[in-house]
Amino acid sequence: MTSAAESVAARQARLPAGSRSDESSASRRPVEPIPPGAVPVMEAVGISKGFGATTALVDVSLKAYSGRILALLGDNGAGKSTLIKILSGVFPPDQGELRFNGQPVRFASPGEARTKGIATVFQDLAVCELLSVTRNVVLGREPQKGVSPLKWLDLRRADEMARSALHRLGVRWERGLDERGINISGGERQSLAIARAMFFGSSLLILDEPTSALAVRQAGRVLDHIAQARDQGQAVILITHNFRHALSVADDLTVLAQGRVAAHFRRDEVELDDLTDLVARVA
Amino acid sequence: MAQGLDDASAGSGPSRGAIWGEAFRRFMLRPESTALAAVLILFVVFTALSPQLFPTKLTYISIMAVAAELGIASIGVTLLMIGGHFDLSIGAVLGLTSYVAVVLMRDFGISPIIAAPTAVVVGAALGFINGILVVRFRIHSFVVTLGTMLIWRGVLIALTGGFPMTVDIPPLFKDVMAGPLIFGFRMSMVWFLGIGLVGTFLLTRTRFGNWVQAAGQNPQAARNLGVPVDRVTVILFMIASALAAVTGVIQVARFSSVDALRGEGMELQAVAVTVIGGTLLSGGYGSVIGTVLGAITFGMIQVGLVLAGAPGHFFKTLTGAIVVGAVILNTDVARRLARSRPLAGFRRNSAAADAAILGEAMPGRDGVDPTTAESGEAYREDKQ
Amino acid sequence: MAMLDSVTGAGGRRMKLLMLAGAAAGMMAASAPAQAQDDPISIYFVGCAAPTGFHGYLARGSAEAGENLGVNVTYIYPDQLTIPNQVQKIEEAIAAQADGIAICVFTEDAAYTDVVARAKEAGIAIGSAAAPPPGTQVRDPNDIFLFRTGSDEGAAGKLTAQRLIAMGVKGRVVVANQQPGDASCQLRATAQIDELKANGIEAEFLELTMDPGQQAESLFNYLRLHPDTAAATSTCDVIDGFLAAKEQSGRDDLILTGYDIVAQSLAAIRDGRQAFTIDQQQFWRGYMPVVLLTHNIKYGLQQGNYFLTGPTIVDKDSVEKVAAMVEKGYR
Repeated sequence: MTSAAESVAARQARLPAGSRSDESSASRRPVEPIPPGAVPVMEAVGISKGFGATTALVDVSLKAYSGRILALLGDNGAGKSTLIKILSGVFPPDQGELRFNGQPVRFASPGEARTKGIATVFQDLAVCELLSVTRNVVLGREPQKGVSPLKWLDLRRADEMARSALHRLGVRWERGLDERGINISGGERQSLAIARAMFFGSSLLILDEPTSALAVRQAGRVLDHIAQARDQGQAVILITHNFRHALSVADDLTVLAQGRVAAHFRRDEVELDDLTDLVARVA
Repeated sequence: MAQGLDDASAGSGPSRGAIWGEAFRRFMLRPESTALAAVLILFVVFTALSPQLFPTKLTYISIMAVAAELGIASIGVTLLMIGGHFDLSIGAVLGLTSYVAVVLMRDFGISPIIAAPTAVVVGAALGFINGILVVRFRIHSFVVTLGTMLIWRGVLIALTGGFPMTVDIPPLFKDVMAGPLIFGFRMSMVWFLGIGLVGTFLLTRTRFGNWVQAAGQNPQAARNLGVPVDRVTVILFMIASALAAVTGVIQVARFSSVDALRGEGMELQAVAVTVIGGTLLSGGYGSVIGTVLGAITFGMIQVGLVLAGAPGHFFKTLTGAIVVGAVILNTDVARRLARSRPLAGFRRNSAAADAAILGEAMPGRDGVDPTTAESGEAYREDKQ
Repeated sequence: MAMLDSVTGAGGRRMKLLMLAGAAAGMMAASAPAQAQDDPISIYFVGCAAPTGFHGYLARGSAEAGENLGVNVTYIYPDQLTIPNQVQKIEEAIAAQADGIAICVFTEDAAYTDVVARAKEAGIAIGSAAAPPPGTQVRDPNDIFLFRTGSDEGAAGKLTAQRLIAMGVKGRVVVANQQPGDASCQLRATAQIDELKANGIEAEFLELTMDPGQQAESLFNYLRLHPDTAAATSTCDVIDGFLAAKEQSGRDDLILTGYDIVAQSLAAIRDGRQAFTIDQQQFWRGYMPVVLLTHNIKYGLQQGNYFLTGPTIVDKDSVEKVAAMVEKGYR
């Protein structure tokens, strides 16, 4: 931590000029400190998890607050995917606990986490390729008409919901809602998934490598949308191995290495080079 | 206003040709287009081969009879395949549930009005077993249903002792299930088209149908969003086996008998018909209407070949060739969908295309401005 | 040995000699040939499947022959019919020291040459309960089997044709196979077609499927195309589809023929919808092998001609008697 702070001081005069196209337009905005007494939407306290002989996580703690983006950085094998699975309810930790809105919680299934408002978006799993945009957005929560047991889809309302969801996130959608998933770009898919989660009332978004497979310009747009989600009050945990992307939107950053928390910064406390050095050293 | 459209036609909307062209392009992308093309082509070919006999009412009645019996079971197979699974056991289910119906009527004196639905419920139960084995033990449906096919068939052979059984069927029941009541067309056609309608509605207009498609395309993503993929899978297996039982009941009514090999080989015919109808073997995409057309195609091949006096061993070969052709055409569909772009005049806004096509097809619709109706302008950012 | 030890002295030596003599006599008696007058002959019938349905007839036939001839007949069968499984059953019969073995042969001779040779080495009489190759009548001296008993499918097809000719069939005849891959059905069909053609009657082959509805529609349309069709034969499935087609087309004069005796056929022959069916009399496929084995074992007799159990025709004249036998399980 101290060495990072030293680096910050040393590089104060060398701020990079101009903004890169793959960074969010919000990248230079100042980061506010966390208000005292604020309760994190999701808190991990001393999480440890092992699988047989291997330990995946050791004493990991983090806090995700409403209206803030926490970037979770680290190389492959650092334990990020295990941590996501614990946070989204796939399996419980061996030691430590999760606290949701301050209350200790133990998820029995991913479904339980989801109903509590934790939405997890995985890279490849955002969209069904042969369904239309509308059907993708309402999947799992389709609006229906009619009386039980004879209910059918309210397609008009579904269209409205899809439009509304995309609009709220500021996603610019110029084509029809009947475009199939296969025809929309990777970035649009990620944005669709985020818009969907928010529309249906998530309080915490866990995004697993949303920009890793994207072209530069698309990545920038998705980061904009993630920032928009944050501005609308979502708590966001952004898992990525791309430091530049992390720095361009995150409010807080946590670095995982070999299953432990190696470092934790607020975004304005650190520069890209510091991060790179740090991760190179601890990974 | 008309920002989504080409400048050349700005202000006047897209050209007529473009509208019909766009409608045609969309039709060709639908799964049913292959089957409809097959029906039309075969109609032309067989009419040319037997001009006196083929284009006649008796022929159509015959075609629909074959299509109906195979088609009902095939619709179940289609829904299941869209959901991402195979069922090789439906032929054996057909046989075993036919046996149940016959035994209930013959040995227990139960009226067909009770025996028939009971057989269908037994079918659903057999499907439930398939479904549970697939979701609980995570074994591929191909393997599970191959096993249950052998089990149900073995049970049927053992119970019948290898010998057929006959039963007296009340004429009313026989007529209602398969009698030539609709201007000569069999009642089985009515059941077939009715089930086709219900199946289409289920697939395209219900929440369940959306889940079936999602489960076939991306089950993990669907689960992630709260879709009960396993429950959907079990229900699909139950539907497939129950519909096979319906066909079984129709055949019991028509032939007053069951034998140990009843339904043998039907599972493959059902897959062929499903594939001709545009459903992808890989799942996630398909059409019940396509299967209805595919069953009609199958019936046309059978009847057409006989009427054309084709030499003995042609039938299997020709059916096989058509199936392969249909698969090749349909496997391309994902690529076609991705590559295919709306025609000039609609490039940015297919919602406007919808409205335009509707306007063209129903010219009486006044007051609908195709360029603004449902154009999604409400959500365009620069309007906010 | 303790017993002998306790006997000593001159009296003891005589006792020892007597006991040894007794033991020797006992051993000689035990090694007398198994075919002693009071030891029943043991026949093993190695079937193709469990003794129900069709194979029930073979089992019943062999059991009745055993009773009539006073020999022990044991019916064994593999759970699943494959060559290795059935060969294993034959080996079990050899190990059980059968005197004679009859096999429900279902495939090429080559599959059995080994195990038959071993049986012969063990002095076991061994024969086939299946038909000889089509067209052969006189037993081949080099045949690995002592005998063969079964129904000749080619003869069955020919018989069907001959009966149709005798009935005065004038128009064309359509011969249908619902399982085109099945060799015996194909043989029936080809033989029938050839015989008809040789007698100047137009005969054609029709490929069908196993679905009765599809059979009905195909035959219905065939009749539309060829209104001069006088007769239709079903070679490989029950007659249901044909009966439906006949009714649908209103052709009461259409002559229907088929194979095997089943409930539908008996009813249809009784009321005239079906003209006749071919019976392979499979009861004899169980009975005759036991007779042939027993007489070979006891008297060294051997058949000169293969024994064809069928085909025979069941028509309106014989159907009542046959139906009665079906109830009892003989036909």
